Amino acid sequence: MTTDIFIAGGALTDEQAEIYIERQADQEVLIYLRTMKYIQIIEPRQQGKTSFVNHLIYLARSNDMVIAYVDTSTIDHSTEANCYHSLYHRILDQWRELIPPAQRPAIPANSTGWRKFLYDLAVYAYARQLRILIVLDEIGASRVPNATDFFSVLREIFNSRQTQVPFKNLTFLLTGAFRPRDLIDDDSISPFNIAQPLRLPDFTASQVHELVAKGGWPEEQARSVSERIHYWTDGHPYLTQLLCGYLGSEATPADVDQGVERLQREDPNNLPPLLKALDKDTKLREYVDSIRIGEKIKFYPQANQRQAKLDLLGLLKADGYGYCSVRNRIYDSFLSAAWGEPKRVTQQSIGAFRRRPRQPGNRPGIQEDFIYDVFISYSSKDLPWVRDMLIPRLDGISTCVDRLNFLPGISILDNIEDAAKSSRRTLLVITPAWLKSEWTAFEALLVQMRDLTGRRQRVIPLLVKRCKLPDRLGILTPLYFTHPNEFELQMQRLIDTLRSVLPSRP
Amino acid sequence: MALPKLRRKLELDEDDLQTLADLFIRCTAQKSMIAGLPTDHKGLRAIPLKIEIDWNGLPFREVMPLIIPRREAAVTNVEVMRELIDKLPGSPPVVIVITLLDEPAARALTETIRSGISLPYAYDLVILNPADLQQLASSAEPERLLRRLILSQVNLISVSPFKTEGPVSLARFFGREWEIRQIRENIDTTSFVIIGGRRIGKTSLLYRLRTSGLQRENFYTLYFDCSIVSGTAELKAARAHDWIPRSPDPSLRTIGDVLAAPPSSNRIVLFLDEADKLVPLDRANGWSFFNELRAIVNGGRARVIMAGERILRKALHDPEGPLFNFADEIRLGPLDVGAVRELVTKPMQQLEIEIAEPQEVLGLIWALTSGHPNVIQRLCQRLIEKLNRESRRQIGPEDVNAIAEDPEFLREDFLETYWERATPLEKIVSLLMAEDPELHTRKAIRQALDERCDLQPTAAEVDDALQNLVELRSILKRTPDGYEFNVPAFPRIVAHTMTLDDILEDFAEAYREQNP
Repeated sequence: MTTDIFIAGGALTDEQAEIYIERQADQEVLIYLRTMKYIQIIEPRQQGKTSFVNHLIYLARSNDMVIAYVDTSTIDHSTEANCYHSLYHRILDQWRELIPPAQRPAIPANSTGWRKFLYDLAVYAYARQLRILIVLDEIGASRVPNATDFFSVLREIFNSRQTQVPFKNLTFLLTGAFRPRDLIDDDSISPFNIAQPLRLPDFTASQVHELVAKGGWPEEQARSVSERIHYWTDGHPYLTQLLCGYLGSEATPADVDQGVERLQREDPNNLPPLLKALDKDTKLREYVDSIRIGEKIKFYPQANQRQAKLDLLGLLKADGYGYCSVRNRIYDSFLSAAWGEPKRVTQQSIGAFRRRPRQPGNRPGIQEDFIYDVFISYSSKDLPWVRDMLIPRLDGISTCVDRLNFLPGISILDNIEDAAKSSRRTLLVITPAWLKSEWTAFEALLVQMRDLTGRRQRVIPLLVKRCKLPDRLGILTPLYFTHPNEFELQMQRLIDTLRSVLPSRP
Repeated sequence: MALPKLRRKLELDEDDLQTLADLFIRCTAQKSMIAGLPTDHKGLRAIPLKIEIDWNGLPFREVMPLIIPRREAAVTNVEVMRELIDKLPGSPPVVIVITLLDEPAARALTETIRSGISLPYAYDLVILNPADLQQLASSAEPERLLRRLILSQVNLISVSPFKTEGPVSLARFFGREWEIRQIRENIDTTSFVIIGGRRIGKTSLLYRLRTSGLQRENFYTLYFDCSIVSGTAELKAARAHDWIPRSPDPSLRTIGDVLAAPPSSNRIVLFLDEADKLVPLDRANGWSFFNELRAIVNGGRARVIMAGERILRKALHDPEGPLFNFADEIRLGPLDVGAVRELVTKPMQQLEIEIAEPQEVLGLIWALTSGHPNVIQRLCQRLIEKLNRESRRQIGPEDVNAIAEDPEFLREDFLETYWERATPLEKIVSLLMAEDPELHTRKAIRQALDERCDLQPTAAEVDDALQNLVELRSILKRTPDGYEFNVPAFPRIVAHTMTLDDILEDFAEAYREQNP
């Protein structure tokens, strides 16, 4: 066996193709190239972007596809003209034999010249039935002057393909770790909103095994080691390669654990830059902490700027249910070592928004002991609705339903109080019948228990039939189940609200 | 048919190969012909075939190689097959392979080739066995059958006519009859400004007008996308390259040439797309460009059709600016039901995809998209991808429902499209209204902004946001009571895709950053 083949840091080249692990994107990109779509890969550092590009260049090169690769972080950015000049040479120097000097287009000096240059290239390719792929790598690290115009040209020529047919023979692959809006004024008039996004996700367990198996360990040993590596890295390409490289011929899962300790101690390339970036931004760090203590926040980095930053840092990903989670156990344990165990975020530090009454803010349920997730208060006349419409939808949420759970021989009020205290949330199924039969008992309880008021959304009124809410309940925002068309929407909101306060369960 | 005899032979000779090629040509009712020299490689022969069938507008190449194995074993060696395909000129994306194997051996061969070549290298190999050839030979419609056989095996994504980015072609353009008629009937005397949100189809409409709307009226149209220039001087110096039909005068090399001396005898219409970009640039320059444009239009020497959104619309209503009363405004919103039907069904027909329960499928698509052309195409593209993954060629309501529940579609296609370029305040307002179905009026919305997000925008700001949500984003509509969703699916999608408190907090922070 050998661990010399594992490479963490730097892109894999053709010669190292044996340890390249193909992902779905490797197939998708070829299909997109067949129709000359623009492609973009926006991923964090060390996700294997440049290795992917090298592999693609190896696969896609054919007798009618010509490719130019430009690392845009290394072109001359001193002035707009120098930038285009540098780009021009970087591209054409790769095609010395293809385009003789006498037939080279003019050197561009600004965005309209850049367009003319690309048009001339496209016409050249079109006349010879060639297809051109220009790979612009490390876009996030480039500092193109007037970047908005530079990128607008790429979009404009794509849109011109119907009237200027040669542009159909020219396409781009744009890669880097960046948010388009950090580069340009308006990302809606850029190639980033017309290019096909490709993702390079972390390796799956079987892909980690595939990689480990290349080390030559016996099958059984490779299996146990790869499982442990996947346990720690969750398929992070760089960390997985790094751990593989630490292992010897007698490697065991315990060696993997030691490798993780070594990695956290010694590796300068992944963890320290991550920590540095987080330590610079208190709000971001608090956001990470709120995720680490188990807040259920849907992963939506396309809209949420904090998530987008963390996604780009490579710290966050979606768990199996679509909620934010720290990307792997190495990061989690590293952050614990650096910051200590996550603390509840104070209301003041999070900002004005979370001080608003309807914000969940701190989640008491996370730290308090409850018997039930939800206590449901309802009138017996509304039993069919509760039994048929509500409870079947609360899958995975433990419920306290009075007729089943109340202790005999104890007053109704005491039972209600016990149930409310033992439950993370209390749902009031409000109808005229409930107001008539249950409200009196509940009002007394609300007076006694200040923490049952709406400040923490402990009590959630479900307005099931139209009726006038008593003043004390009127301060709470109900979920409206009075419109049949809105039922699914309101139910989803209810489920989301309830799930957001559940503790993490295995 | 010579097949039985050929199938008994261990190795085919030259005559046999020719017989098979001829057989294929006969099967396709002479719709195909040999178009070049064959390429031989390790027991395989590739014959370039020119297949002249009606592809229904799908992007198939005219010449497809036909691969015939000299020995049946050669066709199962995927490496040899790949080496041969790599040798063929023009990197053919679709290759037809003839095998003499029967089922189930033919099916096993298909799987071997699919996993060994089609998937990793993204070629499409269409494998025809004796039964397929027999069927072709006896079919009353061999052309249609051949198309169906090919479409049943190729990767649909690579030929899908649904267009999720950029303007659509004429074949994909549906609806907008009123807007086209309005412009065609009045362009002699009037300039126009087309206002609409992102991806609603402004550039597609411009292309439609240029290629079949105004060309028939003998106009010369010149198109320019203003997003690529960073100043009006650069705009004037830019090449006037996109004429339909060809430029009436070769001396009109730049946009500036056209503005300086538009030929009086010609009917010229200047199309300025993404014109929002010009407004601040020209304002900083004392409105010199738009004043010049106005003078030309007022002099009757040319007409202008501009397209844009918020900034252009504001400039249009600014009584102090040169664009006030400059042109008639046309607002572009979602498509009507009829256009949606065509947009969905025609490409599906092209791809030979059957729609089970079409009324229900179309009803679901309408309910989900509310007629936004780009969202519809994205939804349909996802349907195609789903069929492709599942190797099916029929869609039903359950497929649409599956996409409607897919968070990736809802976020990346639906919300990204409807919210593209929306300000943080517009997004917050739409979220608050999604959260509370009773929120309809400006007053209630301002109250909710204060109570829920601690934001106190002015009434004018809220009005502006509401107006944009109606006129540009097409998310809301006005009602006698105030506002409600024009896209009824919006609240459900919000509930399904995001943690509302979290996203509201993020947008509120973005709003505060922009409005310190």
